Amino acid sequence: MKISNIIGSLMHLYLDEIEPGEGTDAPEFLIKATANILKQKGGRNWLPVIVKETGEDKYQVISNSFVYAVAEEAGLERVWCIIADDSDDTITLTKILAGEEKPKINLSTASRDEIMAALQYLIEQPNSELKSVKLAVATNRIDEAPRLYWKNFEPITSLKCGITKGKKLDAIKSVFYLTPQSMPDTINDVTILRTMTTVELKAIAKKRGIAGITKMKKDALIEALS
Amino acid sequence: MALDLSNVDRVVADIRKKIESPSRALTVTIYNNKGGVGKTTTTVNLAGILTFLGKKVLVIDFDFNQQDLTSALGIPASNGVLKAALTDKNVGLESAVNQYNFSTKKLQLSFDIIPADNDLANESDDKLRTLMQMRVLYKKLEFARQEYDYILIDSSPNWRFISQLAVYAADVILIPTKHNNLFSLENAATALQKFIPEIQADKGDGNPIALPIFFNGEKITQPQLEVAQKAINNILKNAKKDKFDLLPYFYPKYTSAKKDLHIHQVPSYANIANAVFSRIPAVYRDRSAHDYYKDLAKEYFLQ
Repeated sequence: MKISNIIGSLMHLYLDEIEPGEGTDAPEFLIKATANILKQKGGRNWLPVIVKETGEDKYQVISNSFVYAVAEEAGLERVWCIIADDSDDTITLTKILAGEEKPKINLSTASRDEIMAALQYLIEQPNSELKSVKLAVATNRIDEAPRLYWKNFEPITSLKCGITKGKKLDAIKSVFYLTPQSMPDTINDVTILRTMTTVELKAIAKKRGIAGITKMKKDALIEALS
Repeated sequence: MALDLSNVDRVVADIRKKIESPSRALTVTIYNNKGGVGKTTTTVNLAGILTFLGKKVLVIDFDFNQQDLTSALGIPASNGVLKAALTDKNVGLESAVNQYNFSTKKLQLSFDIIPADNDLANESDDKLRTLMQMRVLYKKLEFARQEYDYILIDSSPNWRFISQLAVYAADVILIPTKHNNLFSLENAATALQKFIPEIQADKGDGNPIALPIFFNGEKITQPQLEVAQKAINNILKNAKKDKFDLLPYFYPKYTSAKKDLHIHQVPSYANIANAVFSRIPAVYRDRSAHDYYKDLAKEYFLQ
């Protein structure tokens, strides 16, 4: 480690040496009003801006951009900053910790409680697209679906839990991501088979060489495959 | 118990029996001394969904005046069978067990029920107290604790002797409330602060334990929720004056770093209420009801 390593330290940096990065989308009122209060209450930004070093005496904001915007508005010459490393993981993490980005959870492996908490969060957002979704119903159906194998979020729309394609599904995508596993070649699990369509089941049955497929109903197919 | 030469064999045998046949049932009494909060609906549908999920369930109708549970399942009330089982030393509770069957083309489900007893409805508290002790139901359920996964007791909305029997018999107490009914919340607080600790003190093994309340009933709008929260905050404040912390029972997710005020909800709607007319639990008739009660069962029992 270099002796001049400054990662993790709190520094009082010149504002004009810091690039704003992505900037904040906070409304002007909040910035101006906060800047006034900052000036009245001593002018020290106790909540530091998080920056990374981009060159000699050059920095870029990675999170707490709101504080940066306020410091600029208040006309501070120097602003208190914490220097973070410049890895993508750190940037994502600090943004999420600062509440600037929404964290996502892995729907492929999430627990029932996690799914419920995520859906509850979405439903309770102001002007939520998912206002009409019933939390208990949606949680159960998503939890019990074979989401381990989902390659995208489309199957949610066929669970009949009020989440349809379009804005509602987009809202779902804002809190979940998937790390799909490939479907095992031999599926015997009735619960998984039941969630598949008859066409899909017939395709599997054909591969396994089961006779009389064309006349079989879904229940019969499931029985033959399990 | 003192151990000496004369009783050592018996004590060892008792201990062995306890180890070899650990009681597996969880006894749940559904209690709120306010009526109309959905105790019976909760009992019927919980029994239905737990059975559906492969558990062996016994339900007991301990509301002899209303007998709603018994009639909701279309089973005739008994005339003296349960009374005999409770008051006669030589009669087991097994004799009062009936079976409720539900079958469709794909599905065959059944759970056991001890129906209400007309004879017990007419007895006064004083008379009943002369015939049995508070622990009688708990003791007579011994046979069932090996045989079932869940024993659900639907109690009556009062704190009379019969209700005390039901609470005494329980491991846990489930308290339904209604968000738009202040009394159901206040009565829940009374049960938590007064009734349940009384029974705990008497029973001496730490049971029964109250589970956090849940809201049963109409869909809650934001303003209604705020009114309910205000009422609950008042209840909590009053309880604190008596040095009683009711917070975990009302806001189970609340911690000092996370002011989470969510309360579990089971919405009730026409399909759930109407299911009674067909004598079939709503969870077997309605997909949404099925999901709501599965959610309740998972939240409280199946984790």
